[in-house]
Amino acid sequence: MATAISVQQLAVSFRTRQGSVAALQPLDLELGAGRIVGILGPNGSGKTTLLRVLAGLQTPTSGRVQLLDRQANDPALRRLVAFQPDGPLPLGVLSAPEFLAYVGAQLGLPNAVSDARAQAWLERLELQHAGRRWVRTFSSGMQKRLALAAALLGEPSILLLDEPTSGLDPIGSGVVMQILRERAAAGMTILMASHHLLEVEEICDEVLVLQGGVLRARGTLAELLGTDADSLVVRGLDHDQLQQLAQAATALGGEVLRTERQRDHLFALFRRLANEPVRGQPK
Amino acid sequence: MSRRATRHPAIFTLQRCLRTAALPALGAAVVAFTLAMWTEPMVASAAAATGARAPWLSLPIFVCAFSCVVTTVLFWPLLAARRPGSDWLRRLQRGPLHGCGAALSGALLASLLVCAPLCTVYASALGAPSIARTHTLVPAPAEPLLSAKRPHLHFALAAPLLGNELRLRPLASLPEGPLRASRVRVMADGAPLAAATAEFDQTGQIVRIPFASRTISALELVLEDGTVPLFFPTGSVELIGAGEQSGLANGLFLALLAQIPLFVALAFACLAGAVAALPTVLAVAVGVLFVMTVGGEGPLTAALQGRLQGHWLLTTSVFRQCVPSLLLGSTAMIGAMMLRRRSRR
Amino acid sequence: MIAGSWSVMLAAGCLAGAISLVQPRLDDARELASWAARPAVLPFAWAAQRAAMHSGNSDEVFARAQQLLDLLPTWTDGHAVFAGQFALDGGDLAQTGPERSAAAHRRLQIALAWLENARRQAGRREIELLEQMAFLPDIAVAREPGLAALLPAGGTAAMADHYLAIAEQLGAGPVVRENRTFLAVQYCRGLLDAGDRRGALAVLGAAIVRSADVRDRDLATEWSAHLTLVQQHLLGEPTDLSAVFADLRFEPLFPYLR
Repeated sequence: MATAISVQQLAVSFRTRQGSVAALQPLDLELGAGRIVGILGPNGSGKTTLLRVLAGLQTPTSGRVQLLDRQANDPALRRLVAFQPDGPLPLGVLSAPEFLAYVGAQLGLPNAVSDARAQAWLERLELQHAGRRWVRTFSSGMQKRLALAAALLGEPSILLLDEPTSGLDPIGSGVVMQILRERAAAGMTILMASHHLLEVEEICDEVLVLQGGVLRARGTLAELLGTDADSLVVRGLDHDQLQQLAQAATALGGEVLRTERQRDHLFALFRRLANEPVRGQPK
Repeated sequence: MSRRATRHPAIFTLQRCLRTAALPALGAAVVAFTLAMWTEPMVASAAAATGARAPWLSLPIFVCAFSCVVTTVLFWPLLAARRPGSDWLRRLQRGPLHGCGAALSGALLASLLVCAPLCTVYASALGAPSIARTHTLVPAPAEPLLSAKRPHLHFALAAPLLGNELRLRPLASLPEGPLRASRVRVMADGAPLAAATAEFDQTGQIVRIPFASRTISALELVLEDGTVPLFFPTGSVELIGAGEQSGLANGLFLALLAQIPLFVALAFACLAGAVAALPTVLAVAVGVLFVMTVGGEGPLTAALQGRLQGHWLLTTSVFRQCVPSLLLGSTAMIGAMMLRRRSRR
Repeated sequence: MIAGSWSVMLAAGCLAGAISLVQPRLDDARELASWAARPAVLPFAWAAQRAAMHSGNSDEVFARAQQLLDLLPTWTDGHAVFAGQFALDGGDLAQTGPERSAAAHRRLQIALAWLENARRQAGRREIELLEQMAFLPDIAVAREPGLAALLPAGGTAAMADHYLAIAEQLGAGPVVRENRTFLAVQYCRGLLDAGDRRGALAVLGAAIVRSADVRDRDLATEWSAHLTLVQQHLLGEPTDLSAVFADLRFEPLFPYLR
């Protein structure tokens, strides 16, 4: 597997009035192509700083960063590496097609190619109905989807995402996850910082855990969480029958960790309601 | 315009600025015109006092420039530090200013489009003459005092000029004896310019000497009588050219000059925006704009007055007035480039 | 919400009460606006005035001065200076004598009309403004002698007397009163030039009475005596005018005393 991202002894510190603050302590990383890597960590742990360094927006204090065998600030990477920062989009008085046309032009795409790709992504991300509306009037979820469309417009080899699903509804989140899976399958390397642990667990091949600018853990989910244990979920037994089942399991040498009453997941309810037409309104 | 050009930040900024500046500028022009008519001064000839209407011309130009400055700074996130979305543009836009220069060009073009009708049609409605003439300030001699002890003053023009009017506005000193107005005869290339003599007894008096068109290369002032010493610094002797230039072209040239304050204001915004946040950048830009339009620093005030007085603006003296402002703006842009390169580290 | 409505109603009530008590006029509002605008506008108005003095003509300088002094309505010296500068403008050398005089007359009329207008807002400095108005015509005629023929009967002295009389009515001090008394000679000459002998005699009569108020008693006696001699001569009575001829202050009347 080819190396997409290579980081050696990367350190970033910021000067403040109180002195120097280390945002990233010396860090070494090698990430292969076509993988989805999640970055986890509490606020201020250095996730965004790492992404900004990789995007060429932040010059490291020390260390060496290479993406696709090029230095991070190499102009050629502008198109090969896409970065979707967290927060609102710029140029909020443009419409979604105008914004994507601008991004395409800046990436050097031919107009026809740019427009075709923009149209496709707007439809895929369900933004085609936004029409001439200003981007700044979009909900945060719509802005997130448009941001992803903009990041994917140049068909980059590496995609850096900062909180790609924050503000998205579960369905939108699911669409984004599906797109990321497809792009990774097509060979794109994706590095995403997120606080949504379930999503990271669901999609990422590998996880980095940062804390206070230090890489505390790194590996696949299996490496980090241990081997998956087989478990039994039953339905339709009363309390006494459940007690008997537990005793039987213990007798067989198993360990009963907990018994609990479980409802349907909220996600199932949400998906069901979202697919039902609202009375008086066509779906 | 090509389809690619319509995706350029300069065009986006141009469209935004046109949308936000055109109507306020038009409204300001209507208000200013109404006020100009309402506050009509009491003078002998309203046509001769059109220069005094310069504030009413500067008001819509200021409103236009103000709208363009605010719109551009708000529209282009990289004109101020720590604006949301700026990371997008820093990656997408090439160049040392990351598109700030393009945004600035768009704003200038929009302002030019709004100012062009203001400086031509609206200025004419305010009374600006339909023709313009060159006004040349005759350089003063080394000792420009005309008195009984020194009754001749010679003025040499840099190059012979075809003129048809001379204006004198000397500064008067304390009389050397009982007050008797000083009578001055004006000679051009050795011959009297007018049959009558000009009389002065106090500062601020202006004498116009119209004459048949002729080429003049040297002027001489001769004190014939009087006790009031007269001081003729540069600016006190003005020769008006005989050639007539188009008032419309003069208006268009004024529209170009009107972009200088906007350029300097946005250049300073660019400079401040490398380190300062939006409120500071807006304050700096609007402050610079205010000083350079309403405040009278820079070439605009003189140009507005010149347009309304019928002075032909396409002269070396006007260009010379523009140079410091252009240098200031360019220096601010260069400073912005250097600061931005440094702040990335 | 309800408390907010009450506050608004209370504020509106207070405003209405204040308006009914003070009964503001449009002029008050203008003055208030002028006070508010003054700090922001005044520096620029001055700069514009300076620019006009540097490159504009006299009409433009005066127009700019009006814009400036609209912000400073009580600055009577400023009014007098700029009006005087306009009235005494050097003019156009290409104009013939009568044209120059007519132009000077027009400028003088405009300057005086503007000063007359400024009187309304001059407040307690109105008297000073009137004194300055009184002497402006005389200076203008000295600069443009052809102007004298265009002035009303009595000439510059009649105009000065008119303004000084108003100043007196407004409570001007003894200096103004004495000035007006001593102006009688020029005024009389102006009326005699216009063929108004009766008017001239009336001016002399009034001046003789007013001489009693001159603070310098010797001067008052002498002035009154000389005026009386002139009055007798003009009435056709045989009079010894040698004392009058010796008094150079009466020089304007000499042509009518021989």
